[in-house]
Amino acid sequence: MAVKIVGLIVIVLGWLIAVSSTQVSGTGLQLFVAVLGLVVSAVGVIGILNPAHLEHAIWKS
Amino acid sequence: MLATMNKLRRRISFLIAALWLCGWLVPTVVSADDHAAASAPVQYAQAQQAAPSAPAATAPAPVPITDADLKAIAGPKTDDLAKGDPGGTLTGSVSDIVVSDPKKGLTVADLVNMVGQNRIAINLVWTLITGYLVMFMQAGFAAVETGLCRAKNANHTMMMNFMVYSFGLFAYWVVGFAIQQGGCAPVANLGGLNPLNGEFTATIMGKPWGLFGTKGFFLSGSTYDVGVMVMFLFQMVFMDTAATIVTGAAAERWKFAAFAISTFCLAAITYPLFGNWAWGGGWLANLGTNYHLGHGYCDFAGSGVVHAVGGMTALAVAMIIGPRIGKYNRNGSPNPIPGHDITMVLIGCFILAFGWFGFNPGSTLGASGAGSLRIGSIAVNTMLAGATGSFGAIFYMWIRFGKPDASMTGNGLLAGLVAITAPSGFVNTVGAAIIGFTAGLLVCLSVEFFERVMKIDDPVGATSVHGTCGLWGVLSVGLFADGTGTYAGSWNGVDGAVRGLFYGDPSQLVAQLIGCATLVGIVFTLSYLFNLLVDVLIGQRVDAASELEGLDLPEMGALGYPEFQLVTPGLGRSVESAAE
Repeated sequence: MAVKIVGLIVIVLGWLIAVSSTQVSGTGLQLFVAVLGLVVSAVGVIGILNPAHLEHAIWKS
Repeated sequence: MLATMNKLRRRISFLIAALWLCGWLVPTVVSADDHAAASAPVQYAQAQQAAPSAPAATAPAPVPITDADLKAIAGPKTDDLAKGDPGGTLTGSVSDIVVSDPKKGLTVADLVNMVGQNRIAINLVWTLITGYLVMFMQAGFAAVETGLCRAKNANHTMMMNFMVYSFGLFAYWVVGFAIQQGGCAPVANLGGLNPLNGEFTATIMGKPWGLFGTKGFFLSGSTYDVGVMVMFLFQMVFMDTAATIVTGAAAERWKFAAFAISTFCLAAITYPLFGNWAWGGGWLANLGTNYHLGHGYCDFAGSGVVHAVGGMTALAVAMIIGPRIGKYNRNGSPNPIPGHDITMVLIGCFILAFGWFGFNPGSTLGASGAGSLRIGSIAVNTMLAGATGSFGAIFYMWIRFGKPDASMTGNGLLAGLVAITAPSGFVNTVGAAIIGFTAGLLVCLSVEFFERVMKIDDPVGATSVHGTCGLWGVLSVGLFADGTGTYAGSWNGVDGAVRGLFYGDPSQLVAQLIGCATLVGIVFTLSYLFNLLVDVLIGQRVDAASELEGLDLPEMGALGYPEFQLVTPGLGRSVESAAE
């Protein structure tokens, strides 16, 4: 469960990073920060939350 | 060749000049004058059009139309009307204009009010009819999802698609619509929608962020309004589309009760929140006015609001509920579980493609005024992207597996349609074709990624079709918007037309990326938490015996195909004996 919570936190953190792109100047930097946020959220889903679910997957038992 | 063309052009010019001199073309002008003479006030305007070569300075000054002028216009006689009007030249005249005071007769005010009401009437009818088309998409979803599932789950899958309409509608009427659209006014195309004027805002990072609407719960009070009702119907069927996406990803193992509660959560909270942020005057729509990010988050008909919200929720539910028994081997390699009726799948895809002509062109919320005539372009973009989407998928599957897979070709069509939904009102046909083709490829890659890498079992590919391609559609606005869609001169409160990166405005792409991050970061998380709670409280998944038997009897109490003996492919024995 702890890993799932970490996963959710990372997913929301990614959103916060993306939103923080509104506070930086220069469109190039804004694009970079927004993409970074999206990637962090994706890592939270694909790299943390999903593996936590797969630990006890039905086909492993 | 060029010389021949020039010679031909000279001959045609000479012929036209000769005809003119002979007076053959004169009757056209006379005809126009005759027509003008039949109705005095209109004649004045047409006379001006008939003399375009006259200098503007010498043209007579416009004469205001008075009530007396209107009274001089006679409608067709009752005797003439009684003879019937097979040519349609008498029906619809001055006699049909509603007068406010019969004693005064027709006045200029009546005329002007009639013009205004006609515009709104056109828009209300347009929005209603396109809403009805979107509602019919439920039948398409039901057919696609049921066809892609096994016969032993046909009743259960159909019933989820059937009841998502009622569950979703009820929740949306009670609370969802108010949260989403409670502060969306003004909406000029639908007569203003002024009762929907309550948006809860908070100051975040120094700017007002619209978070949710506060008017329209139960459609009561001042929201008992003709325009609001049309808006409700249209928005409700959109929400229902998002809700029905989830049933595909969780099919063949989802408890019916859990499905019902999950649908309530989506229709009442998750969908309306994102809908408010994007369409209801919320913070995403205002990224342009608040932070100068293009025109704010732009999602013309809902690649993000509808499809990605449905796709993210589908991903969350599929993750929580786990794969079907038999989908994966002990080493994690996937087994194909083919659906039972490919004809049903492809007919469903066509029904969906038909309904999409309501989805995208209907999102203008009108056909009259404020750039709404772009509906033709939007409809063509829609059909093009669907076609190129199926190209992309068939191309991928044929090369990768040596055969043009039917179900993935259908998914490719849907992927193209999903992807064009957000940009349909902002891009040209070339952009639409590229967006659709890319989506067709993307959906195949995504299905393989979710199945093989993430080991998420999604029987119909809903996460890929609606989630992945929904996000692609949102991003594509920030790339391909060509700056020609000038709806009443502004969008989301920012003057001018929406332009993407390829047409000179990279900041629009930033707004779209923030929208995508919100879909993954907030919508997915909310959906995950709601469905985790449902899992803890009542359990999301049916027991193994029910799953093996098929959900029709254990969950619904009746088989979808009672007169057929269902045989498990490869085993050569009935489902019942396999379960034993």
